[in-house]
Amino acid sequence: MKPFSALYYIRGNKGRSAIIILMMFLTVCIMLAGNYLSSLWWFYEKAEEYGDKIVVVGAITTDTDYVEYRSFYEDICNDDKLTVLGRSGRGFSGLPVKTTIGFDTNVGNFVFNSAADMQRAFDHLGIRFDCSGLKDMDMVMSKSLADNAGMKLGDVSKDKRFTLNGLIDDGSYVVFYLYEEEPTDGILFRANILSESMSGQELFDYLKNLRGGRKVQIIEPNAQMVYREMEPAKLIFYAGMIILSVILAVTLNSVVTGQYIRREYEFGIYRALGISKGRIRRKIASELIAMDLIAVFGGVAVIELFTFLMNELLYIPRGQFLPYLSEMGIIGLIISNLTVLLPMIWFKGRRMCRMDVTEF
Amino acid sequence: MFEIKNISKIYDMDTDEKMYALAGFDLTLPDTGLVGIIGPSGSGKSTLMYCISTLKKPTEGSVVYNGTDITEIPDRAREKLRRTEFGFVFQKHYLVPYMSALDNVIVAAPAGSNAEEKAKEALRTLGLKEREFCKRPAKLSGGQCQRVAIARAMINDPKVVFADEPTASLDHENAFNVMRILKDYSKDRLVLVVTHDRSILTDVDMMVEMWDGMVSNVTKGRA
Repeated sequence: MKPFSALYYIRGNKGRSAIIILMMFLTVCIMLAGNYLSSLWWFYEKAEEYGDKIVVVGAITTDTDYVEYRSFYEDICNDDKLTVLGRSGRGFSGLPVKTTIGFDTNVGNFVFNSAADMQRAFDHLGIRFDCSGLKDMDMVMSKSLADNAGMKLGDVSKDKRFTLNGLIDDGSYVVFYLYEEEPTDGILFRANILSESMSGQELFDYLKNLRGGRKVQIIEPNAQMVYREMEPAKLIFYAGMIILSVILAVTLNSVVTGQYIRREYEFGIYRALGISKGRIRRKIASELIAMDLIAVFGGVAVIELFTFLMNELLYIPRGQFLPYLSEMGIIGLIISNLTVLLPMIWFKGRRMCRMDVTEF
Repeated sequence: MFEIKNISKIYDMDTDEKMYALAGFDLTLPDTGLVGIIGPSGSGKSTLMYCISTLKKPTEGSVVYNGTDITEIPDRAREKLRRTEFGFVFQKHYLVPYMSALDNVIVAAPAGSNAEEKAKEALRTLGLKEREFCKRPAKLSGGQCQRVAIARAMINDPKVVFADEPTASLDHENAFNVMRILKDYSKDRLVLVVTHDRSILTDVDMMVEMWDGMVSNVTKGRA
């Protein structure tokens, strides 16, 4: 190992390096905070697992005698690209469940008018479950959701209407209700629309286009609304993260300054030996980057292990989950790391290049 | 080799009471040999050495080295000069505490050179045993540390070695050993030794005596 290399310094100064590495590890904790907050998005994604594959349309009360809805319903039933599963006009809220962060929220739900309709939808969604044993006022949900809601097979929902009669293994946070209702004048006032060739925004836009100016409700997938509403939470996270990073940068900078003051004569002698300022800057940068990489890789490993243990021992049994990686966590880690590292490299490099052995 | 002309160095330039560390004088140094610069504390001997060796820039005057005024050359050229042609030994050994004796020598060698072999050879020549090569400075005696510092100064085979009070922290025996090493090196190169201890300069080829920022006497030949 070359004596001017970063690893040589770290190996020769394990105690001092460990202090810096431990402090740099704090930037990795921001990743954990990002993951923790991102569990909300994870939760909403799971609640809207099928939101882009099934679009719900329905009649609205200002449509006198539901004439426009009937016309629209006829159009969609005649459209080869669409599968229409009529359902009750009544809506049922999802189950209240507890998010990983700790507050209660509702999960996604779909209502079907018959076990056969539910089976068609399940086949379309790729859910492996036999609906033939289901009866009116039954509900089906994933095991994770049942764990979260504290329910088991045979339990009745809090509103005393639906009985849990099937568990699926899809990991979603969606509840499927079976509510049979006779059509009024030959029509049900809501419908679940499926398509083999379209999904998501495309299906939504297709239906809107088909609707034209008719008074028909096309329900936007919840996820999109939720994501829009959650944007401020992201901004708050990033703002908090930057404030924390600046505090951490100042703290770490003072610790590192203390260590570099002890090394001033070392850099002074390098200058006397004719080692260029550029090489000294590179040495300082490589030392700090090497320590940072150890902190980041070591820290991420620790965080991932911590997340694994939390998930296995605490969250998964409760039907919750802490993501291992998240966009917010990674962006947080990168920004906080650069906020801490770059000024340190710049200021230490500049100062140490000015050291003069004749001053000691 | 060195022609020093009207050199002066003023500290505290910004204050009313300017302090002349070097008060303007001329001096010519030979190409080879052991040159002693002696004087009491505050006489300007170390400042003179720093100005000649490019570690400090004189306030006025010139230091001509091999035909070039090295006070006027850019920083990078001064760095290169120190890296390739000059070697330094200081009063305190200034070894890097976390590096072994061997690595303290290697660190001054240019990249790509056969540094390890040259460093080992230099340390052997200076009397260090192989088992001491991997010891850190804290595990070496003062004399051993100073010999490592000398090996570091000589690793690039410099044309000039500047030694600022190299024996000040050594006992008599080690002090004379260090001076013997420097004397040997000065046979075909220039070695400048700054000291206030006249007893170690018994074998110099030229003695420069300083007083109050001026050269008070120059003696050539053995003191």
